[in-house]
Amino acid sequence: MTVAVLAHGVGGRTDLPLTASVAVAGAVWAVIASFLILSVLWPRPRTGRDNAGVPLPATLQRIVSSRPLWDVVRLLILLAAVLVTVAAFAGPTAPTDNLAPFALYITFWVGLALVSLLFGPVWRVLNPLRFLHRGLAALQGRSPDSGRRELPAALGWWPAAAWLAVFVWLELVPPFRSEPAVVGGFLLVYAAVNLLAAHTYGATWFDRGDGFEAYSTLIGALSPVGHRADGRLVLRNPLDGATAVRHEPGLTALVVVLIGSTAFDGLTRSRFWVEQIPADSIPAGTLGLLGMTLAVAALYFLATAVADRRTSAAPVTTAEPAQEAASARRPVAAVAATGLSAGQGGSVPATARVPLRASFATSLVPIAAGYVIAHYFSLFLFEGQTTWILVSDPFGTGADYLGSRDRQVDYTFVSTTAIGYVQIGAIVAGHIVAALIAHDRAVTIFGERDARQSQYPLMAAMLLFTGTAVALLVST
Amino acid sequence: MLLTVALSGCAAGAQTAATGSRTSVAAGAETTERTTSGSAGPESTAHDAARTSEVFNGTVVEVTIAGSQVQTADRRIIVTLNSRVRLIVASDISDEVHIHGVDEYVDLRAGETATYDFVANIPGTFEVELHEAGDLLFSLQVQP
Repeated sequence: MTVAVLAHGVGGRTDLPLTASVAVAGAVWAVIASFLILSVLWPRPRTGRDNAGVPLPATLQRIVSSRPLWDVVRLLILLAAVLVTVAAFAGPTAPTDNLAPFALYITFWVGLALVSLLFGPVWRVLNPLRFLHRGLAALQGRSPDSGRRELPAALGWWPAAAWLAVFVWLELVPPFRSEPAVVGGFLLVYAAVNLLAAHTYGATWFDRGDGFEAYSTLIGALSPVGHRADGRLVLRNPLDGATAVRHEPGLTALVVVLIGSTAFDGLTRSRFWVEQIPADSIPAGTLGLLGMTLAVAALYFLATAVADRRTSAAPVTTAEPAQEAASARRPVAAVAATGLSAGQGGSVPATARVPLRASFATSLVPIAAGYVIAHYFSLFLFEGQTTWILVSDPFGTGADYLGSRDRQVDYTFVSTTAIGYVQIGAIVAGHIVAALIAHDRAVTIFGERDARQSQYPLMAAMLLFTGTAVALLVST
Repeated sequence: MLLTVALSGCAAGAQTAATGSRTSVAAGAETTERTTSGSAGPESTAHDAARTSEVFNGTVVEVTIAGSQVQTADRRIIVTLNSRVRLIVASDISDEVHIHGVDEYVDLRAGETATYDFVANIPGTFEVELHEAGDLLFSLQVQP
């Protein structure tokens, strides 16, 4: 009956339009950086070395790998998840008074991206479903890793991509998105589906199958801290982490969903959308989300297809990492058509080459991360406070466990100017890191000259993504 | 079906608030008193919009809710930080208007016109919505 609809998951505040001067400055930086990367940067691969990074002190290493410590944290997170789910059903029915929508859409979803970006794939460690699965397996007296069936390798990131597509639709489109019961139902379905899948395939399901964990893993690849190949905890160049992400089926789809949905979120905040499109129309929203996602996919596929074509005659000078070559399911048609033989100078037969859209998929991750920060940073800062206010009285009983019940959201502790700089900074930084990763991939696959050939179309696509992102921030 | 977003102050026809005009001290004092009196019901009273907007120094936004349809001339109202906003809502249903950001609530009674003054003192874009029905009346863009 009471359907207080709130935009963008939850929260009644959005950012101010970016001022033109800030936007232009950001766009100019992105363009300059792009040309510098194309023209003067390293001609040999710089990433992918096994020993990359500076090892962190052994004490820190021990703390981080302490299992009892993390078990306590995991237990706390599991209890928090249970509290949120129970509050969804038993707490206040008005979305603005209920803990669950704020906890899911802001504290968890946005917080997960921010924490992963800083500290790496944290959800792998903290995932309460993994913890629950381990407990259930122990009760049955079997190893959590053993399933009834082998997880098909062809699934790759696809289950996560599908799950996140459903989640971003729920978050951004239907007017019932922030109904507490809907949020609670979503959490229960999410838990049930993943526990069942883990029961079938073993704990390895969570790696690529659990949408939230896959999201954290992907964004976390850009973190300045990470475990390198020998298991040591190191401080490292985010590029090393990003290039360490192996291409598996569905990776491109997952990244495209993330970029498409964030771009759609930007579109719905634009004046055009607010003024022309009926608010909370499910068909319009669904079409908009689908349209943006397909546009992102089309642009990326087009760019990589052009790059494939431009480089199809070029000998491949350096082998792709073996696992990537193995994941190639079919050679690029254009390459096959030219009938290029390995004898023309390449150390790898051209027919064994992975399509470039697969090789370059990781370069889209920073663009997705930049979009997420630009769009949700202020939501996390401001509306995220609501979670801590509401958790003080999760069931609407008048309790005040944390003494924060009567607090108001403070919308002024970070200025709108600072938020504007963070937004443009995130977009431009995402663009630059993306271009650097693409450059490194290109010189890994090709020699210097052909690397450039492959990069022009990709750089054009990235500039278009970035330009669109900036335009959307200006037009809100 | 009968609705307009009327703007008064100096900026007729534009969405921007009257800036820097301090013509009416008396009107300003009255508004301040009404605004600081909190978010409870009493200050939402029926008004003759045309008459009051003549002396009101700020942005006047008129909204009509008829047949559960929200009607506004513009779904984005732009005002400057710390300027005054007068919300005039004629509604055929009982509900509550929630102004996000400043977090003010305005009681609506079926068949009556509620007038509510507040100071837009938080920068950002905020939704002004019907608390029960959930409909968006308009977005209030407060520019620093």
